Amino acid sequence: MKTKLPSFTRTTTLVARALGITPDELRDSFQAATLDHLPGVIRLRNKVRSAPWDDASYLRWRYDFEGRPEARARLMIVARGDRVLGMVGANPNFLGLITRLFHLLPTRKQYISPLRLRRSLAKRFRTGMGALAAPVLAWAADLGLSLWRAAPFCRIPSSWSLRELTAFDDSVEDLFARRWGPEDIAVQRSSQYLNWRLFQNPRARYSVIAAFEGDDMVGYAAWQVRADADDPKVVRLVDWLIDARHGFAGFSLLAQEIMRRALTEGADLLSTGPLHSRLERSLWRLGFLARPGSEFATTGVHCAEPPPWPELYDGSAWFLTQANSDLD
Amino acid sequence: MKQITAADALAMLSQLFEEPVENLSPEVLREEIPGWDSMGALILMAELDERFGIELTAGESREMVRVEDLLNYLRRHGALSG
Repeated sequence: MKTKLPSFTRTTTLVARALGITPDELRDSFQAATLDHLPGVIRLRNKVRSAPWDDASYLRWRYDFEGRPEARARLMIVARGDRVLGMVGANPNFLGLITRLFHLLPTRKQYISPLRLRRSLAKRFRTGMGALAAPVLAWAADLGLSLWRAAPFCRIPSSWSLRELTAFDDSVEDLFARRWGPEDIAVQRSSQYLNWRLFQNPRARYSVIAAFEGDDMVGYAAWQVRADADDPKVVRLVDWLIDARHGFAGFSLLAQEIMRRALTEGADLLSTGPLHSRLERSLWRLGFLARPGSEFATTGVHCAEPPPWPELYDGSAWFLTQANSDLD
Repeated sequence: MKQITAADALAMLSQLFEEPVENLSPEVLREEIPGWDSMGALILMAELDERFGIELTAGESREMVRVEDLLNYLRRHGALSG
């Protein structure tokens, strides 16, 4: 554990000095944000960030301004009247703070599976002989990819029914109860959390399919299509969970279903970024390629010393997917 | 105020920014020192305040681009000998 941070008292003095107020005034001004502070929070965020990014609907989704924590984060601010002088929230720029206060779990790798190479080859070879050869190369490569995908193809079991979800209910709670084992360290999930994370974000649309056996949910997977001009169209597999009875075979079936839908939508790439040894082995077995992830996608842990379970500091036991972060 | 030498100042920065002292010299750029980020700047402010009674402001901190700028700052405020 790093211990070189200044004391709370000293930090209070320094921050108060930077804000032009006394330490006592700073302590009195530190409070949970309410709806009255929202305009001031937006002004501050847009002033500090190089490009305007925040809006009221997103911030109301992201933070609790109304005493309804549910899945939202509490936003603590320093406010004097209607003027918001500072805030503590989630921001990638806090990496410096996280590295000093927490033990860092390994940075999550990015796993990708190319679906078709036509667009990336056309982008890479734009002139000369390359431009002429690119369509032929792309045709051959895409044919190879489709044959390779077809090789391990498994049929959806007749006992399964696949449903597109627009909300999670108690059936996912039962899946959680059956699925989590004592060897997994997971951030607590609930239907309420998944509904908030995947269906209520005003900035991002996610699709979810779930497999059922009768009324029992045996697995689900959530994804998002991202398409920026000139860039490959990417399907981000943000979250999934499969009943242990079906394990890798169940994950493989849902992943193939998402690949099929991604191809229908003209996607070039399937990508995901979990942190969990079993999940990552499953991705390897399905042919995903690993790439280094962003250092800003790291997770920090703080617990009593010595840690009650050594695995707390070992990324392999954590079950984290991109549903545990917010990149929107 | 008790003055320190340039070598002492570099040792202090090494401890504050968790950077090996052999990597620190006057010409080294701030951006080459990972620990001299915004939190590092806050830690530096606290250290100068506590050790020398010097109130380094956020503006003065932002203007420092090399280790040399900090050494000159300490010298101007009578904290560095020579």
